[in-house]
Amino acid sequence: MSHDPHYGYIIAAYALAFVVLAGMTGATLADYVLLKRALLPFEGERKPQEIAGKESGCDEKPGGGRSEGAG
Amino acid sequence: MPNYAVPAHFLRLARRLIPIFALATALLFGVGLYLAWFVAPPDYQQGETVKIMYLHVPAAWLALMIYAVLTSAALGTLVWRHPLADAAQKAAAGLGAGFTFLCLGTGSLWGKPMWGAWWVWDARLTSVLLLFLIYLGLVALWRTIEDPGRAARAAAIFALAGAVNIPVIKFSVDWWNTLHQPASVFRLGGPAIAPSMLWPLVVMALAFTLLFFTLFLMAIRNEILRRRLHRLSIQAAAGKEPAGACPASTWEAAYEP
Repeated sequence: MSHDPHYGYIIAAYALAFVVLAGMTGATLADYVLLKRALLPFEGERKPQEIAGKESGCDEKPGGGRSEGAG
Repeated sequence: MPNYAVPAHFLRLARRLIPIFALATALLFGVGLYLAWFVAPPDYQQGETVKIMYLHVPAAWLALMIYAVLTSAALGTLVWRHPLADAAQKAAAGLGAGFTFLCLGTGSLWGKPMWGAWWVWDARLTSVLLLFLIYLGLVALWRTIEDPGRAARAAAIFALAGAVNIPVIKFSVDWWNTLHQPASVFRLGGPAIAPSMLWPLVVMALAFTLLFFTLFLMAIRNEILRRRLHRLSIQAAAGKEPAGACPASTWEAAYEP
């Protein structure tokens, strides 16, 4: 395998695939961690409203922002 | 049965599915890479360079499949105006750009030793480059228009217009004289490649597909959280109590004195 004259191209292709796929995975995970961290200050204050919201059935409503056309 | 188009239900479903998909992706990549590197024989013409095909072909299939997913989401935005369709569109655009870039990059690394050129203005290559530019255009649209509703509608119209390119990519090798080879797997009369090379390709394609769906679910979940953060920040800035996972109107109604 390593005696193949095009070995360098094959390694470069697999390295490129690793960088692109790992990059997309890493970016998505990093985005999630940052969003969860940014939402953290709201989490504590949210609990009572969330309970009240569930009682009023708001959890069952489609969508969050544009419910006028949803469904 | 829960309606998974409701963002809160979708988040619960994603929480359950993401670890399962991620595990299956890792297993399939392990098997696929083993088959590609240690079981599949060298091609009689390409030699070991055929190993690049186990990356290039799945990436090309994904580039097209993601655009089909994106087009369906665009219809969901325009016809049903569903926020989850908006999130799916946005998630698919970035991932589609990544897989198309990988398709072009690995194709170029295969083309140099096999064709003697990194790039030729062949109909297949040019139409895939156009697909990559369309994906970049969609990512740019999402980043440029601040209002998510307007951005979703603009991106949906752009995506539907760009869908014309998909059959052009698929049939370019039949319609024009191209340097790129014609279809050798999805064709009338069955695959034209030997099973010893077909199986590694199929397993790698499944691994790529599952990786896409894992990342897709994660990216949609991120988009839902981003919108929740946006809404809570605006409410906090306006001096109201944050509304949590409920639409503002419902929350306000529940807390009316």
